[in-house]
Amino acid sequence: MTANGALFGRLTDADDERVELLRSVIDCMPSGVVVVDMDGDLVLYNAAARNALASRFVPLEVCWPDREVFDIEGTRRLEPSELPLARALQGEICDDVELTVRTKANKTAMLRVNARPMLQIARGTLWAVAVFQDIGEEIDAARHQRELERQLAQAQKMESLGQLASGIAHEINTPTQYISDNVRFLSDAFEAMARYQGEVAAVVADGAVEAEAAERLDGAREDAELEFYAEEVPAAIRQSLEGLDRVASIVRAMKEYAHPCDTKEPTDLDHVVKTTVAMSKNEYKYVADLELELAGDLPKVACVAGEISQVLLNLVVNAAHAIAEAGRERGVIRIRTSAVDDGVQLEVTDNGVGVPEHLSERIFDPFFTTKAVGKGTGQGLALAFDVVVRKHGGRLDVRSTQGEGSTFTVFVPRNAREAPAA
Amino acid sequence: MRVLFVDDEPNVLAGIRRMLRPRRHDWDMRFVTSGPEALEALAAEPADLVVSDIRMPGMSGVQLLKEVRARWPATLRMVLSGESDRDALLRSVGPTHQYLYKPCRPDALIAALERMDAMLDLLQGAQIRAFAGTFDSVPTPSSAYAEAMAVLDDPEGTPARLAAVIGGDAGMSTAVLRVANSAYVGLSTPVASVQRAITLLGMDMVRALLTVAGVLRSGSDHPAVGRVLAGGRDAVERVRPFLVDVDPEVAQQTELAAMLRDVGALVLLGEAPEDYAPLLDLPAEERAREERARYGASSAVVGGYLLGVWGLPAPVMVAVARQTEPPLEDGTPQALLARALAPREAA
Repeated sequence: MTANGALFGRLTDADDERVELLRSVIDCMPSGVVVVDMDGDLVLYNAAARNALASRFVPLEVCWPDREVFDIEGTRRLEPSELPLARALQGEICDDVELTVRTKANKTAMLRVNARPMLQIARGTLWAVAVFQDIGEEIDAARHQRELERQLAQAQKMESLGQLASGIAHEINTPTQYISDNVRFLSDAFEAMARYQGEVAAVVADGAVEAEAAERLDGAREDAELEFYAEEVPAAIRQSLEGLDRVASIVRAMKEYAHPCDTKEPTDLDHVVKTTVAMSKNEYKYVADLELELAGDLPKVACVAGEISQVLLNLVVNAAHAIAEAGRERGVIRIRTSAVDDGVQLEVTDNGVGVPEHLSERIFDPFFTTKAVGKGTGQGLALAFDVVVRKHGGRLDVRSTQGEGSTFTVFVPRNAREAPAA
Repeated sequence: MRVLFVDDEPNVLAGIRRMLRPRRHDWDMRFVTSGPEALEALAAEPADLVVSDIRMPGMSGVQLLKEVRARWPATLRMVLSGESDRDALLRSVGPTHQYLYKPCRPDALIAALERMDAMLDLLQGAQIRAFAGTFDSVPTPSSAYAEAMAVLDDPEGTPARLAAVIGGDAGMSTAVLRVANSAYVGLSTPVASVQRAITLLGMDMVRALLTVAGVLRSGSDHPAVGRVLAGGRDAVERVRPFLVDVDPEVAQQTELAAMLRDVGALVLLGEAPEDYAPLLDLPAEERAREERARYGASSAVVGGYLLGVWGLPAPVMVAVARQTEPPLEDGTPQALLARALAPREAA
């Protein structure tokens, strides 16, 4: 009322009605209207402006000087000279300026403002008027739309990745089949030849062969380095078979990554940890000792046990690699489980090289790897992230100090579904 | 056993040929690189088993195996495929006895071939072997099928509830267990629990599987089918007291064998309900004698043969095939089931 009084002071009765009419008109406007005098002090505002900026307890007059104005993202505070009303007082016309206002009335409003200089001939001064709309909902809708589009793009990417993955899987599985059959054949063939060679050696040792012939056979055997082959060929075959197993498991993981279709069952994660650790011994035993701190009385969580096991396996393998890379003496991998508010938490801690801070954002991206070529596929953590976050609605976080080690934390939510009777 | 391997990749065939060389005296093996070539080879001389790739140019493995089923119904059919996704599996469910996937470990391939060989021996010389290869599914009553679908449609449906329905029906049980024991799931230990099979496959996969498995078929709603199934559930009850202190895995296999004890009879009912149904009224021994006279094998042996070629756990297969014979080895599902069934049927 003070503000209105200032504007409409010294009125005649005949003016009264027109003033009342004008006030009703601006109060009915859905847009906020604010008028300031040459000093920037509030002269007039309407109901929409009050609703947007003030509160029942803090009238706009009171909070107006304390307003804080930021850009539309709410990150940069605007200089006083950048404000639309200030610019209008300098004679500028400001159209469609978008900004965020925080007022003392504890309100945050996103506004689109149009401001004009307003010449007060009678007073011989320049005032300014601003008309604004609250665009909070519009901005939220746009952000929501952008998020939807991002998710859709991600889903399309996964879809095409899935088709690619099945195609690649087929292409890889076929040669893997005949490589493994052939390796098996070579193994049988080598054994047969080794048996024959053993028989020849036994005959020579028995003295059943003339001295000269025996000497020739011995010489030929040394030239052919048969001892070396006897030792190395079986190792080469065993390692080739191990390699084939790894290829097969990567192809399987790639396929599962692209085509998830599994049912969640109430699961005791302590049990999953125990079985996984038993399976993964080969992955860490040369570089680290494993310590288990299992809660022992975990509530069951709804999950696909095989997938969580795969996640844990990936984390253990990563931990082992991080320790090996640190190149110190034997390291320690610690797996801890605990019940938290609404689920179960599983931590894998190592004292390996740690994750440099600038990479911690990227380590969950598919095909991102810092490991030497041939050491890692760049799939492990991306798969883990996908399983934990996307399929189980959980969280996967990393805390790491470079040079000291990392802790990966998996959180699996409990999910209220009843455990089926066994 | 005469085996024909079909794969468009010659290197795969060469690898298998070399790897299986130590078995060349046991098995007569031929290798061809396309479906049409396979049909030609079979026309020249039939095989006991065809092992085929799925994705091949021209005629696909599924087409080939369908053709083989139609023209050589005695021939067993196995898939060795590089495609291991569920759509590929569902397409080949019909004409395939067992599914293996590339890369298949040499030991696993040899074990699967040996199993097929043993099954062929089981029906050696029996008239029924000439068309046993066309028995692709066990009839399921439409009421049981509808009940399973209702659980699958219920958003609150759990694997446990679904297992309670499917576990009481031989047709749906064998359908899910066949796939759960195939290389599609990739477990090294055999699965004898329907609930575990459902959990492994996932509810969506079970639904898709039941719709393509052909369990709703001729004979499904013949009253005798319901009676035989009730007999299976009754056998489960009878065997339970024998399983108190038994290893859980053996117990599970024994219960499954009890439920599936009359799979052979169910399939024969499905093929010719009116011919076979009267045999069910005969006392057990007389019925087996009549079956042997007609088919060259008892329905128990036919059932065991089917469970064997479908890749169900070997102890279950043995228990079904030899359910009325003297216990072989103590503590096995065969011995447990034979004991549980013996007294009352003799009485």
